[in-house]
Amino acid sequence: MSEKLEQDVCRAIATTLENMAFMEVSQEVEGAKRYPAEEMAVTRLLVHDPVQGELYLLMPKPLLAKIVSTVYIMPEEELSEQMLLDMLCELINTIAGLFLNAYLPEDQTYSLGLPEQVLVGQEDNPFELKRWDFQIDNHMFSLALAGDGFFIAEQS
Amino acid sequence: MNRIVIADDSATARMFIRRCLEIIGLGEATLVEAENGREALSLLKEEDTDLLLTDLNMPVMDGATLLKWVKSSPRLHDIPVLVITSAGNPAKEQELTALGAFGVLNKPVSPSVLMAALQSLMS
Repeated sequence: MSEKLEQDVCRAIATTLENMAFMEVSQEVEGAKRYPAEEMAVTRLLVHDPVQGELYLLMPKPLLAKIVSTVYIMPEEELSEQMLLDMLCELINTIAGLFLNAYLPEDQTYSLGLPEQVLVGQEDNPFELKRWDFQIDNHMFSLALAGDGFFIAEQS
Repeated sequence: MNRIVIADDSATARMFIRRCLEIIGLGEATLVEAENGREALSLLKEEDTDLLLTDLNMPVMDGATLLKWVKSSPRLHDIPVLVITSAGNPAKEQELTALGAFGVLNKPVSPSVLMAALQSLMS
């Protein structure tokens, strides 16, 4: 995998979280808290063109609550599950846009699906899948990218 | 500005744009929210609107279709349309500008970027 793919993914994550929630993302995850499946929320976004692929964002609900609380300026106790999931979907949308804008040639248009919630574990994909782990304030979360197109393009 | 319609299927995105508008001093305007292009069209037809802020990727009716409808309507075509999207790049921007959008901003949008775009609209 090229350094560019990795760099573009990491920059997209960092820019999104810093601009939307004023939170600093770190790739140093040793010692960060890992959450059980029931405390995780997962969203998937299809990339239709020019490369076919899928992006998954996996976040612990306590971290999502912190982010939503910051954006909405609301106490965490007052947040609904729907607000957390909506935030997760908005995050993956923004991350996907920033990533594809950086990764694809400048004049290349692309087409994305709509983000959808998936059950934890369904992020397994028959295609090649690469997963990156990050942390914010010691909460670990991940982004996964699936789709041979991304990795074949990398190899050629 | 008296009335601004915000079209985005994400409540989070709508809230984020609302916050930006408040920060740049447009919190006094009536901010009306729509979850898709079709809903936005209904809101635009209901009352005079000074600005439409729309996402691109929405269910039911997407932002590009909404833009085409607005610009082809004799009643609505003067409403300035600013697209705020995660799927914007120079090629997309050119396409949307040709359709009549006065600007395209990439998410995550910041108050200063939104303010600059609105200032350029007013001038």
